[in-house]
Amino acid sequence: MLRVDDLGVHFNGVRALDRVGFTLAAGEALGLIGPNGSGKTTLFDAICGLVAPDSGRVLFDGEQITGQSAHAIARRGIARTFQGVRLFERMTALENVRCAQPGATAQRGEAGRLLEQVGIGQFGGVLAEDLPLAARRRLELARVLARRPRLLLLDEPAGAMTQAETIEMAQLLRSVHTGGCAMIVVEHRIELVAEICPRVLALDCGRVVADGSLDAVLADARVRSAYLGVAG
Amino acid sequence: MGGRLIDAVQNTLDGLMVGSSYALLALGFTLTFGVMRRLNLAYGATIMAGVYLGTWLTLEHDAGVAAGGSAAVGGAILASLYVERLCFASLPERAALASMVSSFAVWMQLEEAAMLALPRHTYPFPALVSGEPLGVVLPWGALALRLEYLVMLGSAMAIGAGLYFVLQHTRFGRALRATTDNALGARLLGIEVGAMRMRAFALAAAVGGIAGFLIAATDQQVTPMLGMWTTIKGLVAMMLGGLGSLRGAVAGGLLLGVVEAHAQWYFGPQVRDLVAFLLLFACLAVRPAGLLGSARAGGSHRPPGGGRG
Amino acid sequence: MDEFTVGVLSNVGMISFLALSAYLLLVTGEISFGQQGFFAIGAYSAGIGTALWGWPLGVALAWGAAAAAGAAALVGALTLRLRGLYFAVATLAFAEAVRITFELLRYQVEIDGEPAGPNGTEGFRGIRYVLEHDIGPMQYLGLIYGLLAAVLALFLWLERARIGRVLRMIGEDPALAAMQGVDVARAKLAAATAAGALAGLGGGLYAHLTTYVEPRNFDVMLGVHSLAYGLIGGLGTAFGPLLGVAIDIGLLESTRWFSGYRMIVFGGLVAVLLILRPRGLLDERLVQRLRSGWPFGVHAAR
Repeated sequence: MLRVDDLGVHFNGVRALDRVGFTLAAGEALGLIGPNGSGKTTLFDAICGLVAPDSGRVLFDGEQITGQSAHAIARRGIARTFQGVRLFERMTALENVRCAQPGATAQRGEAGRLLEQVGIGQFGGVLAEDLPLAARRRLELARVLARRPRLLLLDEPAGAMTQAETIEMAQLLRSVHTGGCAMIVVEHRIELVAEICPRVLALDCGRVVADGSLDAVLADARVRSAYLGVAG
Repeated sequence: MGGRLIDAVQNTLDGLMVGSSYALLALGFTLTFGVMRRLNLAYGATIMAGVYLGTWLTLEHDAGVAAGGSAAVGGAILASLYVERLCFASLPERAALASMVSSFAVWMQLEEAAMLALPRHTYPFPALVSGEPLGVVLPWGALALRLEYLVMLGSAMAIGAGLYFVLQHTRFGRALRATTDNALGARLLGIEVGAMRMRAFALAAAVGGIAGFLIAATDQQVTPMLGMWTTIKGLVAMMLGGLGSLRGAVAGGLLLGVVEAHAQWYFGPQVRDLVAFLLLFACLAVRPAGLLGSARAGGSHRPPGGGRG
Repeated sequence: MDEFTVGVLSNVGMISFLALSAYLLLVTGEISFGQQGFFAIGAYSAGIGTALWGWPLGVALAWGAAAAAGAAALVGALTLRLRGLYFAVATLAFAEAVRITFELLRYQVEIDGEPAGPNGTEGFRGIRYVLEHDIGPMQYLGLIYGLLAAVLALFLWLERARIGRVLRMIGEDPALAAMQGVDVARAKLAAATAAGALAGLGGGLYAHLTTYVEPRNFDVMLGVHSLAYGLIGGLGTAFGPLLGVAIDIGLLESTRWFSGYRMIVFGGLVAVLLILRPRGLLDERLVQRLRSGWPFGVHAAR
């Protein structure tokens, strides 16, 4: 469903992505790990059309989407969240979800149900900027679900969450995944990755250093050195 | 042909001379914008307030040109501190839009206050060299230069270089640049961001006050249009050169002056202004970062009043 | 109603079009210092329509709005990639260029033995359609407020429809809006064009009320004032800019309580107000609170 070929991005001479390539099958969940600055978020940006790659291409359903505008890519069924949680701050939670609903016939009722589904039904009329962080992450998830995506790119969905909140988020994501949505999950918490993603891709300095099952990837020498330092 | 060539050279020289006053205005403008990342629309009005104070002093108390000039600079600094406290320090950093509109409101205040103090349409301002009602004209071959403009050009160059030195090589300048790049980081380093901004504002107002004084002393008169005129000229020159760049401010001011001088000579004063605005519009549409600005600046300005994103 | 009140109310109505025009762009996150340029284009075009070409008022007003919309679409297309201060200054440059162009424009036609039409800095005299057709001040006031009510109804409908949400999304975060499938460039161009049309309509009404326009009516002051109205009144609803106009023109200017000091009072009021409420009196938060209290509000629907 998604195929990334030889993708390269650099900013002001710094290589952020270097010949990254992988494929993702329909409905598959892929974990994306790597130290800070390894290019995970840039990879998301390049897939979504926020960053123009210097080389390589991204295919979605066999069609090339590199070079297309962000809204055209979004309309194909790719949705993402952000590491820092990006919401429409001056809108209510309910409005945030309705913003994401495709088409003119969007239903208010469905938006409300989505808020219930992620567990923040009581916050429908609250401005996004007034929500606590955990609720903001949930709202962002509700918003991407409202797009009815076929591919979900999640950037640290449990960032800065407590242990209990992380477990709840993992259960939520698992239920979304069983609904048939393919996803790529960037996450530092290995337990969350282990919960959802049978396969893991490790990036370091913009390159793919390992691709396989979680255990195999964690055992990989290059992954260990990337995480634990050069000596490791 | 020779006459035409001399006209063209003379126009260019005149343009550089007048352009040096735009450059001075743009220097102050760009300094405030560089530190605040917010537009101070009251910049021209603070200059006007200072110049009107100087004019009042020379009229009512028979003070000389030096006292008038000092009062112009001092008045501009005082007025700018009022603007800084009311429109910038009191508003959250992300409310760029609110600051801009607030500074516009204070522009209206300062202008009306100045006109209440001196209600006539024009007032005389003492010449730089007393007893020269037409200014001092220095012949230079077939060309002519005015001493007042040479002083202005010299001041623009000296102040531009001085500001560059201060920003690059002094402790104050380093702290100021740290504040500009990352206010939170600067705070963590123990820099008093609020005080830095006040000082930068005062510095910019001093530059503007000098510009206003030199302009008034060259024209030997002041009118209530001064606030609007300095705002527009400074803004245009700053944008032409590129936001936040000192060299760009000087280059933008001189370019604007030269283009205006030629347009005025060949087409008259209305076309002169038209050409200036069309040039600005075209520059922004084609190369928003300005002549000397960094390419990154164009279009990447934070959304007004933007949220946390 | 006495003549003075009718005059004040007419002014409030006409400037409201300009304030709504600036507000529409503020909602999409853009500051325009140049809406007075489209107001001027509307005034001159509509005035030429009735005074020189003998068109009926309705056609001339529509033509004025269309001419302004066309100009706005062109400017919008050229400045689409600019944001923030860059956009603001580009629109300022455009509006000043328009004003000076009208200072240079001479288009005189002899009508009833008298030259009529735009005459450079002398201005454009004799836009007498309203006088010649015996339209009284009250009737004209009715026309202004009828059109304003229609525009306001459109705004209120838009604010609840998908398109209103799209504009607010762009105003908050254009990249995030794009990821909700919004074609940001197209929406911004549409908003800029509509804002131009609104300003042009107001300009046409203005020209026919005063019967005389001159280029310096359309200076930067007019544009920045119309921008300030939205910020004073609030950016949460289209009633915001109208409230701003009412406070400034309706209260401060017309009561003459502060004659001689009006700008000092107005300026101080705005500055203090913005400290207390950076997005105006009727900001998004207040509007949300009011809406959820309504019988058809968010809470009641669930």
